[in-house]
Amino acid sequence: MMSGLIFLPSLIFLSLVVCSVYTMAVEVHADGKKLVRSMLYRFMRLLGVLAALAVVVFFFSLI
Amino acid sequence: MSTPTYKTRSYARKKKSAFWPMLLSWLIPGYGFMRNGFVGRGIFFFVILQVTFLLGAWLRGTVLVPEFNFRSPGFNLVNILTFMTQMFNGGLGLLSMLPELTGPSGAVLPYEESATWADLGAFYLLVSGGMNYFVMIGTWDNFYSEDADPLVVPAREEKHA
Repeated sequence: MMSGLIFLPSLIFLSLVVCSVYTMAVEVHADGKKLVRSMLYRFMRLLGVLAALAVVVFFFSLI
Repeated sequence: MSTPTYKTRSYARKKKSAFWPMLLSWLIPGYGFMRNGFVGRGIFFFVILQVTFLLGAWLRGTVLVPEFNFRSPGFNLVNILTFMTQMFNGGLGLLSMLPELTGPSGAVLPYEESATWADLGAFYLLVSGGMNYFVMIGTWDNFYSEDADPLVVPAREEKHA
Protein backbone atom coordinates (compact mmCIF):
# COMPACT_ATOMS: atom_id res chain seq x y z
CA MET A 1 0.00 0.00 0.00
CA MET A 2 2.69 2.44 1.06
CA SER A 3 4.84 1.58 -1.97
CA GLY A 4 2.06 2.55 -4.33
CA LEU A 5 1.62 5.86 -2.55
CA ILE A 6 5.27 6.68 -3.19
CA PHE A 7 5.75 5.14 -6.63
CA LEU A 8 2.65 6.43 -8.43
CA PRO A 9 3.12 10.14 -7.58
CA SER A 10 6.83 9.67 -8.39
CA LEU A 11 5.96 8.26 -11.80
CA ILE A 12 3.67 11.19 -12.61
CA PHE A 13 6.02 13.84 -11.19
CA LEU A 14 9.10 12.49 -13.01
CA SER A 15 7.15 12.12 -16.28
CA LEU A 16 6.06 15.75 -15.98
CA VAL A 17 9.65 16.86 -15.28
CA VAL A 18 10.97 14.93 -18.29
CA CYS A 19 8.31 16.26 -20.69
CA SER A 20 8.36 19.89 -19.53
CA VAL A 21 12.16 20.24 -19.41
CA TYR A 22 12.70 18.44 -22.73
CA THR A 23 10.03 20.50 -24.51
CA MET A 24 11.33 23.82 -23.16
CA ALA A 25 14.97 22.93 -23.94
CA VAL A 26 14.27 21.87 -27.52
CA GLU A 27 11.54 24.27 -28.64
CA VAL A 28 13.16 27.63 -28.02
CA HIS A 29 11.05 29.51 -30.56
CA ALA A 30 7.67 28.18 -29.40
CA ASP A 31 5.25 30.44 -27.56
CA GLY A 32 3.59 29.49 -24.26
CA LYS A 33 0.48 27.94 -25.77
CA LYS A 34 2.42 25.72 -28.18
CA LEU A 35 4.84 24.74 -25.40
CA VAL A 36 2.02 23.56 -23.14
CA ARG A 37 0.40 21.63 -26.01
CA SER A 38 3.69 19.91 -26.95
CA MET A 39 4.41 19.14 -23.31
CA LEU A 40 1.01 17.56 -22.70
CA TYR A 41 1.27 15.59 -25.95
CA ARG A 42 4.65 14.18 -24.90
CA PHE A 43 3.33 13.51 -21.38
CA MET A 44 0.34 11.51 -22.64
CA ARG A 45 2.53 9.60 -25.10
CA LEU A 46 5.04 8.75 -22.36
CA LEU A 47 2.27 7.58 -20.02
CA GLY A 48 0.90 5.44 -22.88
CA VAL A 49 4.29 3.77 -23.40
CA LEU A 50 4.67 3.19 -19.64
CA ALA A 51 1.17 1.70 -19.45
CA ALA A 52 1.97 -0.63 -22.37
CA LEU A 53 5.17 -1.68 -20.60
CA ALA A 54 3.20 -2.36 -17.40
CA VAL A 55 0.83 -4.63 -19.35
CA VAL A 56 3.77 -6.50 -20.92
CA VAL A 57 5.43 -6.94 -17.52
CA PHE A 58 2.13 -8.17 -16.07
CA PHE A 59 1.82 -10.90 -18.72
CA PHE A 60 5.48 -11.88 -18.29
CA SER A 61 4.84 -12.24 -14.57
CA LEU A 62 2.21 -14.90 -15.35
CA ILE A 63 4.74 -17.16 -17.08
CA MET B 1 32.66 47.03 -46.46
CA SER B 2 29.29 46.82 -44.85
CA THR B 3 28.82 47.22 -41.13
CA PRO B 4 27.82 43.92 -39.49
CA THR B 5 24.36 43.90 -38.02
CA TYR B 6 23.93 43.74 -34.27
CA LYS B 7 22.60 40.20 -34.47
CA THR B 8 25.61 38.96 -36.46
CA ARG B 9 28.01 40.55 -33.98
CA SER B 10 26.07 39.06 -31.11
CA TYR B 11 26.36 35.63 -32.72
CA ALA B 12 30.14 36.01 -33.18
CA ARG B 13 30.55 37.07 -29.54
CA LYS B 14 28.63 34.04 -28.34
CA LYS B 15 30.61 31.61 -30.48
CA LYS B 16 33.88 32.85 -29.01
CA SER B 17 33.08 32.04 -25.40
CA ALA B 18 31.39 28.67 -25.20
CA PHE B 19 33.62 26.91 -22.64
CA TRP B 20 32.71 28.79 -19.45
CA PRO B 21 28.98 29.03 -20.19
CA MET B 22 28.86 25.29 -20.90
CA LEU B 23 30.87 24.46 -17.76
CA LEU B 24 28.60 26.69 -15.67
CA SER B 25 25.55 25.15 -17.35
CA TRP B 26 26.80 21.80 -16.09
CA LEU B 27 27.28 23.10 -12.55
CA ILE B 28 24.14 25.30 -12.50
CA PRO B 29 21.26 23.92 -14.59
CA GLY B 30 19.72 26.61 -16.81
CA TYR B 31 22.70 29.00 -16.61
CA GLY B 32 23.26 28.91 -20.39
CA PHE B 33 19.66 29.93 -21.08
CA MET B 34 19.80 32.69 -18.45
CA ARG B 35 23.07 34.04 -19.89
CA ASN B 36 21.58 34.20 -23.37
CA GLY B 37 18.54 36.16 -22.30
CA PHE B 38 16.02 33.36 -21.66
CA VAL B 39 15.96 34.19 -17.96
CA GLY B 40 12.52 32.78 -17.14
CA ARG B 41 13.26 29.52 -18.90
CA GLY B 42 16.67 29.27 -17.20
CA ILE B 43 15.14 29.83 -13.77
CA PHE B 44 12.49 27.18 -14.55
CA PHE B 45 15.22 24.65 -15.47
CA PHE B 46 17.20 25.51 -12.34
CA VAL B 47 14.26 25.19 -9.96
CA ILE B 48 12.68 22.06 -11.43
CA LEU B 49 15.98 20.14 -11.80
CA GLN B 50 17.32 21.09 -8.37
CA VAL B 51 13.99 20.29 -6.69
CA THR B 52 13.98 16.89 -8.42
CA PHE B 53 17.56 16.23 -7.28
CA LEU B 54 16.85 17.35 -3.70
CA LEU B 55 13.69 15.20 -3.54
CA GLY B 56 15.90 12.26 -4.54
CA ALA B 57 18.41 13.19 -1.85
CA TRP B 58 15.54 13.44 0.68
CA LEU B 59 14.60 9.85 -0.25
CA ARG B 60 18.27 9.01 0.59
CA GLY B 61 19.39 8.61 -3.00
CA THR B 62 23.08 9.36 -3.56
CA VAL B 63 25.55 9.43 -6.42
CA LEU B 64 27.60 6.27 -5.92
CA VAL B 65 31.03 6.08 -7.56
CA PRO B 66 31.05 2.83 -9.58
CA GLU B 67 33.85 0.31 -10.05
CA PHE B 68 35.68 1.29 -13.24
CA ASN B 69 38.13 -1.63 -13.30
CA PHE B 70 36.55 -4.15 -15.68
CA ARG B 71 38.57 -7.01 -14.10
CA SER B 72 36.93 -6.39 -10.72
CA PRO B 73 33.93 -8.59 -9.73
CA GLY B 74 32.10 -5.37 -8.78
CA PHE B 75 32.32 -4.02 -12.33
CA ASN B 76 28.86 -3.22 -13.70
CA LEU B 77 28.22 -1.25 -16.89
CA VAL B 78 24.74 -0.14 -15.76
CA ASN B 79 26.24 1.42 -12.62
CA ILE B 80 28.74 3.34 -14.73
CA LEU B 81 26.02 4.65 -17.08
CA THR B 82 23.85 5.58 -14.08
CA PHE B 83 26.78 7.46 -12.52
CA MET B 84 27.52 9.34 -15.75
CA THR B 85 23.88 10.34 -16.20
CA GLN B 86 23.48 11.46 -12.57
CA MET B 87 26.64 13.55 -12.86
CA PHE B 88 25.17 15.67 -15.67
CA ASN B 89 23.70 17.74 -12.82
CA GLY B 90 27.22 18.80 -11.85
CA GLY B 91 26.81 21.04 -8.80
CA LEU B 92 24.54 18.88 -6.66
CA GLY B 93 26.07 15.71 -8.15
CA LEU B 94 29.49 16.66 -6.76
CA LEU B 95 27.92 17.53 -3.39
CA SER B 96 26.11 14.19 -3.29
CA MET B 97 29.32 12.31 -4.18
CA LEU B 98 31.32 13.84 -1.31
CA PRO B 99 30.69 11.06 1.24
CA GLU B 100 31.93 8.52 -1.32
CA LEU B 101 35.22 10.41 -1.54
CA THR B 102 35.69 11.70 2.01
CA GLY B 103 33.69 9.24 4.12
CA PRO B 104 30.29 9.74 5.80
CA SER B 105 31.59 12.75 7.75
CA GLY B 106 31.74 14.70 4.48
CA ALA B 107 28.03 14.27 3.78
CA VAL B 108 26.21 17.54 3.03
CA LEU B 109 23.09 15.87 1.65
CA PRO B 110 21.40 12.92 3.43
CA TYR B 111 23.49 9.77 3.02
CA GLU B 112 22.14 6.28 3.75
CA GLU B 113 22.74 3.70 1.03
CA SER B 114 20.61 1.01 2.68
CA ALA B 115 17.51 3.21 3.25
CA THR B 116 14.18 1.84 1.99
CA TRP B 117 13.69 4.43 -0.74
CA ALA B 118 17.38 4.91 -1.65
CA ASP B 119 16.95 3.28 -5.08
CA LEU B 120 13.93 5.42 -5.92
CA GLY B 121 15.86 8.48 -4.70
CA ALA B 122 18.78 7.54 -6.96
CA PHE B 123 16.29 7.40 -9.85
CA TYR B 124 15.22 11.01 -9.08
CA LEU B 125 18.92 11.95 -9.27
CA LEU B 126 19.17 10.09 -12.58
CA VAL B 127 16.22 12.00 -14.06
CA SER B 128 17.57 15.33 -12.83
CA GLY B 129 21.01 14.65 -14.35
CA GLY B 130 19.58 13.24 -17.58
CA MET B 131 17.34 16.24 -18.10
CA ASN B 132 20.21 18.66 -17.48
CA TYR B 133 21.97 16.83 -20.33
CA PHE B 134 19.10 17.91 -22.61
CA VAL B 135 19.24 21.46 -21.25
CA MET B 136 22.99 21.58 -21.99
CA ILE B 137 22.45 20.18 -25.49
CA GLY B 138 19.72 22.81 -26.00
CA THR B 139 22.14 25.52 -24.83
CA TRP B 140 24.82 24.33 -27.25
CA ASP B 141 22.49 23.83 -30.21
CA ASN B 142 20.64 27.12 -29.84
CA PHE B 143 23.42 29.50 -28.84
CA TYR B 144 26.93 28.15 -29.52
CA SER B 145 27.07 25.50 -32.26
CA GLU B 146 28.05 26.13 -35.89
CA ASP B 147 24.41 25.64 -36.85
CA ALA B 148 23.04 27.93 -34.13
CA ASP B 149 20.34 30.21 -35.48
CA PRO B 150 21.77 33.75 -35.38
CA LEU B 151 18.24 35.03 -34.99
CA VAL B 152 17.99 33.43 -31.55
CA VAL B 153 18.70 36.71 -29.86
CA PRO B 154 17.35 37.41 -26.41
CA ALA B 155 14.44 39.77 -26.19
CA ARG B 156 16.39 42.31 -24.10
CA GLU B 157 19.08 42.53 -26.83
CA GLU B 158 16.53 42.79 -29.63
CA LYS B 159 15.21 45.97 -28.07
CA HIS B 160 18.55 47.67 -28.83
CA ALA B 161 18.98 46.18 -32.34
